[in-house]
Amino acid sequence: MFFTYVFRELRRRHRQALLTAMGLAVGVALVVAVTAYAAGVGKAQDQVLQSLYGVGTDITVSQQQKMEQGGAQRFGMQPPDESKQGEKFSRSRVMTSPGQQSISSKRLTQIASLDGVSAVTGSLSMSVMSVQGEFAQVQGGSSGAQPSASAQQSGDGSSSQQGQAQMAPIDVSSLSVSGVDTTELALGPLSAAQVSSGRSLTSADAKSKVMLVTKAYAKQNSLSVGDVKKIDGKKFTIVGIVALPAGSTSSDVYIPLSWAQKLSDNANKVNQIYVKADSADDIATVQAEIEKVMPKATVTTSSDLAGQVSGSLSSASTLADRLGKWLAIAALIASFAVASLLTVSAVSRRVREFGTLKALGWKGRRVVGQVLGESMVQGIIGAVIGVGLGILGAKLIAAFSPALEATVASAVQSGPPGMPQAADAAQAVTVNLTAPVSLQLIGVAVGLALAGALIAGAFGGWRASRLRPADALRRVD
Amino acid sequence: MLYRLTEVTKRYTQRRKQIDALDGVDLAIDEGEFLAIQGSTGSGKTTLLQMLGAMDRPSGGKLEFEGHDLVKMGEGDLSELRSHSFGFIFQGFNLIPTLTAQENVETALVPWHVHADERRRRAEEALAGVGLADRARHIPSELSGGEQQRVAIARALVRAPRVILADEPTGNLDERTRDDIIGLLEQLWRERGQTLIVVTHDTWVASRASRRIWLDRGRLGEEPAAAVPGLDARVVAEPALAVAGRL
Repeated sequence: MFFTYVFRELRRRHRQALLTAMGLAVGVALVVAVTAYAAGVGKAQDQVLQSLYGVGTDITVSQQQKMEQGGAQRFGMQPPDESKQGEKFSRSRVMTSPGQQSISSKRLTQIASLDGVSAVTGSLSMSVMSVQGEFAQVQGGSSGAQPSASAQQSGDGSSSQQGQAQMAPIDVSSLSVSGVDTTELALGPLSAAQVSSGRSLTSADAKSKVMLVTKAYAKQNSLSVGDVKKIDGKKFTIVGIVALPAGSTSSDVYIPLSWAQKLSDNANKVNQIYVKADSADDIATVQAEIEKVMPKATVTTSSDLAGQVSGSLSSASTLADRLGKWLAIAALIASFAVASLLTVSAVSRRVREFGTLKALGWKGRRVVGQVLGESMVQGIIGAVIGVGLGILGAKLIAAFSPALEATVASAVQSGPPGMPQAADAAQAVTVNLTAPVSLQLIGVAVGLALAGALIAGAFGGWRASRLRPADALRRVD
Repeated sequence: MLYRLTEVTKRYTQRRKQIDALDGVDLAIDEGEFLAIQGSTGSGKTTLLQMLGAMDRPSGGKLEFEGHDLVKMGEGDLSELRSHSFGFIFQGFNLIPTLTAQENVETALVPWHVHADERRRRAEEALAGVGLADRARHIPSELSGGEQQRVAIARALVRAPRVILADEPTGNLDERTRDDIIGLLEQLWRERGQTLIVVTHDTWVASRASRRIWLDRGRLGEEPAAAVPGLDARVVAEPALAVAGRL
């Protein structure tokens, strides 16, 4: 009887029922679409932050190099004597990333002992610059000639230098290398990496001459798993090819930390520390503690970095946070109000009907139940339509929204020397906006539609139930 | 004694004006009576019927049903009483437009939480009792006025209540259908021995009752027919203004 009555009644006033359901649906659809959009923006932000920062890392610590440190590198391209003129030469030099000062590995232990720290690892980023060519032919002088400083990018990522007519060509190539702690790969530069072929590094590789190569670098240089790549004369076997998120400030290759320290002559040193806090609530405290322990270090949290994100991604995020949230709330309130008004209006038109039922002995709660039942069915219809519209809206957002660009002042990793990615340089990352609709979101949307229906039904039912049968029957339709 | 009303009053406030729908009504009704309540429009007939059917509470006085004062009963108890002791028949039939004749009859059994099969069986029997077995699957809009009122009668009778309360049951029907419906009610009253209380303007309908009372401005009064010799019984029941106009 309950369901028969509910469905017949809804069928009788199907237009109004559909209108009520559509009211709820629009509210729900907006919530779904806006939440999906916000989730997409959040995901894009995460993607940007992960590419810059690594998955699971809450805090990074680096220390800026003093200006007087480092300096120009000399490769000794001048022939030591005239007899060497015209001879072939090959030089390579390993340098830790400019602008970043080495930090003692003891700091890792120190940070690990701080309250709220879950895990700590360090990495050592460095660049290997190789120059090969022939010593210049110098006529009429012993000081030799410097090769031209103007370099032209070649297709394979190396630079070839065209000298003057009498000069032989010189190839300059650079390789960015990161030494990673193979026992803690879940944190640090390789945390976001996905192995596309071969395998990742393991704790057993700590002292081995093995390396991982990024997919882009492997493709550029036709490298594959099993190949051998020389770094400063040492042969490393490629055990895996890894893919890192788009826009990532990744190195070209990754080797065990101990070998990076040996190659760069930085025993027991790192130049980047990655920290994971026990919980998100601990991040600020841990940041403060680290700053206390290492007052000269740059301690950056993911939220610091998120705050530095600018560009269209930032605008989209602001839009989602401010306008989107309030728009969804306003739409939801409006849809609840519309549903309630329509339900109350429907109840008002059925006063005599409910009065008759009460005269027959129906209790108030049974009448409320009947109105609620009708309202809940409208809510279910509204939820189905709303979720459908919301998913459609999310798909349209994903399909038609332009790629978002995020600009972040990078304080994390630097590229090869001489490149513009210095420690304080800005980095631009382009990400495509998605609008993911999770099952959880669908659940929330259905819940909201049913809650709206419940409110509307309870309100309408309450109005119906509080009427005395005599008063209700006295009403003129 | 089934009902005892002592100094029952009912006062409404309408547009800041107080209206005494019932003004000190004293009345006793025995079990098994067929009582007709007559009176002009606005005399308080329907209000009195609603009081007797526990659909409304008096503003003052005492209204006892089987010795229980309805004034002191809570809403829940009144609902319970309505579902067990009273059957209602309305002038406008008051059927649920979306439900079939059978389902409409079943609505009277909903408060009893009867099993669906039992509910259906009883509703079928009730409809057969009013000669509508073959119209059970029709919705009200597919039935004539007389058939709709028969469905309403079946709905009132399906619970075999102690009292049937009918408010102008033939007010919306033509003369022939009126005779059918009153004949049916009279037959059921005779067969079942239930108390039948009918509010009517129709003197012929009232003449079928075992007792008639006349309400005038909320008070029990004398039947005006006695004061207007030569008027037939049917004219007597009509509102005073109509009678005056005809004269």
